[in-house]
Amino acid sequence: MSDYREENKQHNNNPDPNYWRSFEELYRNEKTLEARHHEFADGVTDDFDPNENLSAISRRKFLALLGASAALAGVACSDYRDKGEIVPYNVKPEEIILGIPNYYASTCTACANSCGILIKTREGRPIKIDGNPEHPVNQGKICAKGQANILNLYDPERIQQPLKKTSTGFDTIEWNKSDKDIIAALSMAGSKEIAILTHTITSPTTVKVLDDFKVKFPSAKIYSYELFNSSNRNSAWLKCYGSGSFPLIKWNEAKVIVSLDSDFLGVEGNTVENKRLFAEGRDVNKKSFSRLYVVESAMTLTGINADYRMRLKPENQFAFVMSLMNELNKKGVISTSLSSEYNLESFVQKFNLDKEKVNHLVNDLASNKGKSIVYAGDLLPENVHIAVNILNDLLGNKTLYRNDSSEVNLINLSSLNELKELTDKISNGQVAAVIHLDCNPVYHFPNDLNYKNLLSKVPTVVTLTERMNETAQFSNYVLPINHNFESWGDAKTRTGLISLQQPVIAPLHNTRQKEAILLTWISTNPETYSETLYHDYLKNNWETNIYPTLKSKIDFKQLWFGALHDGFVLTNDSTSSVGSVNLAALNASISNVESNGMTLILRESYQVGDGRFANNGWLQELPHPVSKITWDNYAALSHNTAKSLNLENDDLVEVSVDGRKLTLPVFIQAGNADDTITIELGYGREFSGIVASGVGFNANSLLSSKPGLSNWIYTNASITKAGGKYPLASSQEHHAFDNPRIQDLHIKRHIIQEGTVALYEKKPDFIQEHRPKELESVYTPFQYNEMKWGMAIDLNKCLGCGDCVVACNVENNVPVVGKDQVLKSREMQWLRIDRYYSGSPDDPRVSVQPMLCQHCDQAPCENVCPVVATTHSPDGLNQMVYNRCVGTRYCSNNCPYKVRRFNFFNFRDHFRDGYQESSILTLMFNPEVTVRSRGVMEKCTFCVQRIEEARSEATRRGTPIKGTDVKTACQEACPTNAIQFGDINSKDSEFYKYRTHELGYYVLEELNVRPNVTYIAKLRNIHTEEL
Amino acid sequence: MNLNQTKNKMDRKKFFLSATLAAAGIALFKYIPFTSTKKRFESKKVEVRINPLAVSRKKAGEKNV
Repeated sequence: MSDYREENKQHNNNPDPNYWRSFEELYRNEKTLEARHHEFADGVTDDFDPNENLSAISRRKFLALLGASAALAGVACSDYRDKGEIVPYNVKPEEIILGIPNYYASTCTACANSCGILIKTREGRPIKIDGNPEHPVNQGKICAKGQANILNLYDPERIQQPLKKTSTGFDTIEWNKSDKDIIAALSMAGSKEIAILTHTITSPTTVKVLDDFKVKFPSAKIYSYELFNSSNRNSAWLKCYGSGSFPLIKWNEAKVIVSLDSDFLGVEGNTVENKRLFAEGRDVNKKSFSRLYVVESAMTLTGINADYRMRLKPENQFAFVMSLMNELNKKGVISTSLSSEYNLESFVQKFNLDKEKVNHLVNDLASNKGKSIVYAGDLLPENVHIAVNILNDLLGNKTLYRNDSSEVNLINLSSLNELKELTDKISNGQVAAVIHLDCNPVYHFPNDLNYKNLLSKVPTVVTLTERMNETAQFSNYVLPINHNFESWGDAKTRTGLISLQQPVIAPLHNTRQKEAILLTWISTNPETYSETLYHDYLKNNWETNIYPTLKSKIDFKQLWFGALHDGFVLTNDSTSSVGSVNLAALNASISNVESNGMTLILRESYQVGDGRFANNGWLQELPHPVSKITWDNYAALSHNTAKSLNLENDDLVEVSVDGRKLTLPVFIQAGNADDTITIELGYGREFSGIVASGVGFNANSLLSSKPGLSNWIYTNASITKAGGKYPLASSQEHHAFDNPRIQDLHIKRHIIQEGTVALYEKKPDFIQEHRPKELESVYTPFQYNEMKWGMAIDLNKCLGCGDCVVACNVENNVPVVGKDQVLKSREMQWLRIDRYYSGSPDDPRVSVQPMLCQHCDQAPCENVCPVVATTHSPDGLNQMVYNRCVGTRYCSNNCPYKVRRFNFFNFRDHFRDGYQESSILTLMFNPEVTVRSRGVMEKCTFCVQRIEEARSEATRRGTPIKGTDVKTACQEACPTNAIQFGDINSKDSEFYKYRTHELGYYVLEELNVRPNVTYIAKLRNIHTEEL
Repeated sequence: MNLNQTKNKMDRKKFFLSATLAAAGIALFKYIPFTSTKKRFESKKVEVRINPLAVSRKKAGEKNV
C-alpha cells in the first residue's frame, strides 16, 4: 500500500473515491486547512486594520490633518484629466447605427489553423471575436487565443512608427526612407541570399507575393518554421503511403480512441474542431459514448478527459505500439509478421502498467475494428507514427480518415538541417539580407544555432512585427505591421474551402500590411504604397487565378462581395485518397531507445502558445487547464520523482541536458510519469513589453539543433536542487467552498456527481437518489410565471479547456490583475473551472466543473447586503447594482459557491503601471457593460446586456422574448456546446431537456438556495458499473 | 486672557512662515507628484476609421451566398 493511503488511514473520513485538489489537501496540511477557514488570504485585509494607533490622534492634529487634506484634495481635484469629447457623429457613416453592433466575417491568424471568425464592432471599434457560425471547420467556435487576440489589436505597446537602429537604440524613421534604404540593400544583394523567415503561410495570395518577390530578387529563399509542428507525423505518413499528408480524423464516429502522448484536445491540430467532434461522440442525449484511452507521460487536457489513462515515458511508446500489435496478431485480430521481441505481457510487467486496463484496450481494439483510431502525439518520434499508421491500417481504421477534406500545405516547413544551412551561409557571409516576416527566430531557434549572434554578420536585417521582440532587438529596421483585424488576406488550410480575411478597422497606427510592404519593395519605388495596395492585389489574384477554378455561375464582383460577407467560399478541389500501406516502413523504423535517467519533454503552452501570446494578459492569467497555474511555466515532476529528489512545490531546480541548463521552479503534477520533466515553452520573453517580459522561464534554451528522441524530447536529462523558492501562482485552492475539516465533503455533499455509462444504462435515474427532499423555506417562493433564465452545463461535454473563461473576460470587461494579486486570491474572472482529482497521486481520475454565479432563487448574498446592491429580477437574475455597492463583502462571505469577486484596487490602474488604463485600451471595452472600479463587488450576470439586447429586439419585432434569443458569451465560445442557456419555463425548448434531465443535479441543493444552474453528471465509459 | 492661552498662541512670524511654506508646498504638490507619477501608457489619441472596402452584416448568423 502506498504511503498516501497509510497517511489517509489516520483520518476517520476516507471514502472511496476520495477526491482532492492538491497534495496539501490530500495530506491534510494544517496550514492549508486553517487558511481555508478564512474568507480572504493572510494579509489581504491588512490595509483595513482599524485598530492601529488611530485612537491616539489629538483633536488639534486631527483638525490640522483635516484642513491639509481638504486643501490637498482641492488642489488635486482641480487637475481633471481630459476625458475627451463625447459627441454624436456630425456625418454618420452609412453602416453605423449608434448602439447597434456590426459584424464582419474574417479569418483568424492567431495560429496556422485559420479559423473563420465573426468580429463584432460597435461604432467602428472591434469589441468581441466569436467563431463564424457558417464556417465549415470551426462552426461558430474559436479558441481562447483567438478570442483574446482583440487585446493585441489595442495593445498600447504596439510599434506605431518604423524604427531604425542607431548606436544608442532605435530612432523613428519615415516609411519612404526605410523603404528606400531596404530596396537599395535588396537590389545590391546580387548572388548573395536574401533569406525570408516566416511562420506557416496559409494564404495562397501571400504565396504569390513571395513568388513575385523571388522573381524580382532571384536570390531570395523562403524559410518557414514552427516551434511546434506535426512534421514527424507527416514524414511518417509519406514513408507509409508515399504521398499526401496525415488525414483528418472523424473523431465523432470513433467508438474507441487511443491517444499516445497526444494532446489533440489541447494543443495539437485544429483543437476547436477536434473538441467539437470528440464531444459529438459523447452525447448523453443520444446515449452514445466513445471510449478514450490515453497513454501519456505528462498529464494533459486530453489525459484528464480519459476513461482509462496510463502513464508511460515517451521513449517506450514505440515498444508499446509494437507489443500491442503483436498481441493483436497473436489473437488473430490482425495478420502481420512481426518480431516476437515485443511482447505485451512482459512490457506490462516491465513498465508496471495496469494489466486490466491493457486487457480492456486490446479487447476493445479487437472488437471495434474499423471503428477505432490510434493517434500518436506531435512530439513523438517518426517511428511511433509509422507503427501507429500501420496498426490503424491493419485494424481497418482507415474508415475513420476523412475523405471529404484533407489538409493543404502551401509551403513546406523548413527542416532543422535547412535552418542549419542558413546559419552556415550567414556565417560565411553569403547572406545579404534577412527579412523576418512576423516571426521571432532569435527566441524560437535552439541556442546552438547561434542565430542571435550571427545576425550581426548580415548587412541588412529587417523585422516586420507588431511589437518589439527578441529578434527585433537585433535588426537594423523594425517595421510595424497591421494587426489581423486591420489586414486583408485569404487562407487555405483544407481542400474544399478558402477563407477570406478583411480589415474591420483602418490601421490604428502608422503601420502597414506585411504583404503590402513586400509589394512596395518588389516595385522598387517607395511611392507605390497605398492603403489599398494589397487589397487590389488580393482581389486581382482572386479574379485571375482563384475565381476561374471555382466554376461559379455568378460574376466575380458578386462572388467577391458575397465571399467577404460570408468569410469563405467552397471550392471543388479533390481530396487525396489513402493508398495501400508500405509495411516495410515499419521494419526500417525499429529502434529501441534505452534510457535509465530522466526524460525532458518540452511542450507548447496552453495559454501563450509558442510565446506569440506572451504579451496578452488575459491569456497569461487564464489558469492552466490541469495545474491551474497562471503567469508562469515550471518543471512538472511526478509525485514519486519529486519525493525521491526531496523536492517540494516552488523549489528552484536546475534542469540540464547535454550541457544545456535552466533554473526554474518545480510543480508536482499528479499523474505524470516517473522520471520525466515536463516544461511548457512560450515563457521567459525579453524585450517584449511590460506584460510579457520577465514572465516565466525561457525553456527554449534547452532545445538543440541535434534532436534527442525528437525535437522536443531529450533522454538522459538531470535535475538538481538549485536552492531557494519561487512562488507559483495557482488558482486551484482559491474560492474553495467546502469545509476542509471534513475530508471529501465535496463528494459527500454531491458537488461532483459522476457515474458510469454501464450504470446509467441499467439505472438511468441513479443521480436522483442523492437529491435531498423538498426543503422548507422561511420565504414564500416567488412564482416565476413568465420568463425565467437558467443554465445547464453538461459535464460529459465540458473538457475544462477554459475557452469560456476568456470569452467571459472579453464580453464583460474583466480586468487582468497580475501574478501578485493572483497569489492573494484576487483574480477577477467571473467563471472558474474547478478541477478535482480522485484516487492516487500516481494515477488520479480528474473531474472538472465550471463554477459561476448560480443565480439562486433564494440567494443568500441578497439577504445580507446592507445597501441592497444585489437584488433579484422578475426573470430570475441575481443582479448587481455597482453604484450602490459600498464594498462590505458580506455577499461574498455568504455566497456558498464563492463566485463573487471584489475589486480590491482599480486593477486597470494597478496592473503594470496603468497598462490597462491607456486610452487606446478603452476602445476595446464593451460599451454595454459597466467598467467597475475599486471597492465594488462583481460577478456573473448571465450576460444581462445580451438579454436586454434580445428583449429590445423582441419589442421591436412585437413578439415576446424567447429563451433561444439569447446566447451567453461562455455558451457561444464553448467548443463542445457543453453550456446551454434559456428559459426554464419554456417546456418545448431544447434547453428544457437539459433542465429536467435524469442526470441533472444542482450543486449544494440541500442549502435550499435554489440555484438555477443545472449540472449534467459526468459518465465514465468504463467496463464496470462502479467507478 | 489667561496665561495658558497666551502660551499656546503661535507668534506672527512663525504663522507667516508656516503659511508661506504651506502655500509653496501646495503649489509644488500640484505639479510634482502628479507629473512624476504619470502613467507610462498615455498613448496618443487614435482615430477610429472603418475600412470602406470591408463588407459588414447586421446579424451574427446570416449567409449571403
